[in-house]
Amino acid sequence: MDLEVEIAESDRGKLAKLTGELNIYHCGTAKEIFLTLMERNSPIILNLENISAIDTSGVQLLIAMKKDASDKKIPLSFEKHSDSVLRIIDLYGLTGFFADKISLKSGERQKYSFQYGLKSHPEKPI
Amino acid sequence: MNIDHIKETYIAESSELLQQMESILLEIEGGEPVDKSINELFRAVHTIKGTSGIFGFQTIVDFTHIVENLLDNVREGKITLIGDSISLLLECRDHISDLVELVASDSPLSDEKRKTGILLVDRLQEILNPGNTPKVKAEIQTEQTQKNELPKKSIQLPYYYISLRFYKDVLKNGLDPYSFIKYLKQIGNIKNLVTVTSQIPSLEDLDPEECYVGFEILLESTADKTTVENVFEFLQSDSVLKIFKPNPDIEEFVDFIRNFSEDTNSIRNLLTAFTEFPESSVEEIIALTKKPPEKAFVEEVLLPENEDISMYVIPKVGESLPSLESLSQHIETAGSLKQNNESQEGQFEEKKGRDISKDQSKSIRIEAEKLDHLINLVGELVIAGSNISQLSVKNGDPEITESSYIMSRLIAEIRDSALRIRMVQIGSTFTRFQRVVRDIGMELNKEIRLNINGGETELDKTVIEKIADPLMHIVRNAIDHGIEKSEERLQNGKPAYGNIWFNAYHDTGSIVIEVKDDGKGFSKEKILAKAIEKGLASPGQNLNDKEIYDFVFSAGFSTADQITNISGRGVGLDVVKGNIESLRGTVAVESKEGEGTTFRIRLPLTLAIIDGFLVKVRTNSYVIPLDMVVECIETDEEQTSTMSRRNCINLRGELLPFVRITDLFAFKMGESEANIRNNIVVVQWGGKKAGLLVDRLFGEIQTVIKPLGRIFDHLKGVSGSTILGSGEVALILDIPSLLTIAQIAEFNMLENTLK
Repeated sequence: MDLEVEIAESDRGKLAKLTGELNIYHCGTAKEIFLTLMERNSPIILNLENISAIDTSGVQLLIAMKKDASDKKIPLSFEKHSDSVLRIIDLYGLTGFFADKISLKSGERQKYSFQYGLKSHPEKPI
Repeated sequence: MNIDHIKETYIAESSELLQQMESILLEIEGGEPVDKSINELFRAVHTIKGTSGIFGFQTIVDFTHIVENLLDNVREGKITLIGDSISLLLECRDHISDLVELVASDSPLSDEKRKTGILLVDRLQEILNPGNTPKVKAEIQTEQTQKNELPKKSIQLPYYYISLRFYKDVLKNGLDPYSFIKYLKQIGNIKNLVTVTSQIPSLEDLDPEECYVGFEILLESTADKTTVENVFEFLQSDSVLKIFKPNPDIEEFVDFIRNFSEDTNSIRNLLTAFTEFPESSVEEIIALTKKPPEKAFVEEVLLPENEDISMYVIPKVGESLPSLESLSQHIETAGSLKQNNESQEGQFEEKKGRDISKDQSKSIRIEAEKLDHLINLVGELVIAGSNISQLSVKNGDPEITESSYIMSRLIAEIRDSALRIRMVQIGSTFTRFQRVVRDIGMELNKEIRLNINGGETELDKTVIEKIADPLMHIVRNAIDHGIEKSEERLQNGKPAYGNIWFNAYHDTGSIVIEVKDDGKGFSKEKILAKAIEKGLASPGQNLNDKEIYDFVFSAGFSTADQITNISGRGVGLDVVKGNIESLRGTVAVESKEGEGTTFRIRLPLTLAIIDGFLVKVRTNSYVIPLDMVVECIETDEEQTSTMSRRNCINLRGELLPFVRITDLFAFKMGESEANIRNNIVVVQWGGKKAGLLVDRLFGEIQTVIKPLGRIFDHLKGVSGSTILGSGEVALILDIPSLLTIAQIAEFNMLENTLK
């Protein structure tokens, strides 16, 4: 499945909904999408609801985007993380780094550990 | 194929190669030209290194690598092998052998062994780079002093610390670190994980197919380090991995973390992210990182005993990850260790391949068990075969008789070749003693040469295995007590160096192994005095030489004035005798005071099947081992009765003592006695000849020895039993002990007549 993006304007900012796989096969596309989104300095909300698969290259892109956004003082948030996104963020201890609101359906909590990497530390890059 | 199987082969092969290495080294020491055997020596070490590499026994690989370097320099003529370096190589051989044994027993490397290894490497380096001792040595020394003087300080961290960095292409190579890290959960619990993101460039500069992240992981697991390492096995060539065991040594950890970043703040950030680190340790680590490093980091890679060789280097923050090439260059230039060998490697690999295939076509490895099974079956076949030939004779059908003859002949051939499979040349057992002689000789400051004759004589493998220990005792005795010091030898008009001869040859169905020395020999008077002191002989007794020398085989008998750590405790020769007798062999000693001693061991060729000679006494069947039968003669009643009470007959002008089996086994006189013919089977054993008076002769028979039960362990005159083709049981006569019995009986009789 390819990676597609739907962009809509909302009162909270630019709302981008990604659909498909955010992995090594599509990260080139993803990079272009993210760069386009960052072109204007308006707030961005990335909906990850329909990300069916994600790998290290995908996470790496999200991190790069987050870092760029914070450098450029662009508010960027991810929302409605899909299961695969949550799993990798959880495993990589990046919950605190992204510092997004994560909403879980009831009964899904035990799928993730959320044991570490919860503290936000944007001013202390490791 | 089962991995244990392969490992067994590896161990067997390594032991063989090590054995080979030893004998070559000893040959060189003995004056053989070096250039002839150096290639063989190199190949032995090289093969051990190669196969150890396949199994991932890094410690062996690292150690053999340096030994190999030395040999390579020898081959190129840069270094000449002299006494000291040969001794060193022999010690290296022993160390490799120890390491292989550790692998065999699955035991970990002890600190002591590790130290031995380091010291040996040190000495090897000295030869490789004389005068210009590399830093490695200094490092080893500092490490050693650290080890010896300071107790190891460790960080109270009950988890594995895993640091993982990737080369940029890891993702392009189809490997996703995600799956490996996910897999860690299978072997433990990830307590904490920090994704190192500092290397990720801005979105604009980022190549989405390259990998910029790294991971620092705390893993709670009961698995051993290898298991943890194995998780990342596939990532090996695409990543730099460092794993610390739970409670890591603080200095090692500091060395590692120093390279994580030059900026103590980011180290602090990392360590505070790991709340599992005790706060005090964090401060200590940070304080230590501020001190200048005592040793260059990359050089650590060169420490031969370091298990983590290829995967140690952690890039500094602010630099991009090193490419594989630059990394290897780094390692190459850091020391000369690795350089030497690479060029030869390829060329040798090819040669080795050819040699192995040549060897393989020459021999096959078979499990001893399979062979035993085959021999067993052949034994049964022999019995069945003789059954058929007996029946065919009874039957009288000439055609069947002829077929059965052909079959018997084939069975005999099958038996012979099956037994020959088990035959091993005794030479390799002998050459093993080169080292013993050399080492003990050096220890006692005696120069001794070992001369081997008849090494190609073949002997059953089980016998060979069991004969090594008795031989060892005898050799040790010879070196310790037999051979004199050089000065003493020169005074006595002997050459300054002592000689020990090993000699093996076949003699009437048995193999004779002689161990001879040209030392001072046994003192008959001393032995006799000691025997009288021990109550083994009475003062007035008249004993011949053989009887006197036989006392040395008595338990607890020692004529040594001084007990040394090599021999002289009086334990030994009785054990030697016992061991040899358990192999159905005998041992005798000959000695001439001042000239030397010879131990002569006589062993049966094989333990399983014998060619026998079937005889009958009254209704009982007996088998006499055919090798000992010289001839059969018929005697008339008159002749035996005239000679009877003397139990001797005149055999072509020679006096032949004989034993009446009827008397020996206490047969009752039957009525039919008058009609019985008297046959004498003349047997020979160890230079003695005697006759056995039996009733009927049945001729040759092939038979399988079935041991008697343990109850009959001490039964004299019978060595085993066998089942005849007819199903009848026959006892196998133990000729040597029969002869002794007869001798004793004769003496008693003589004494009686004298009285």
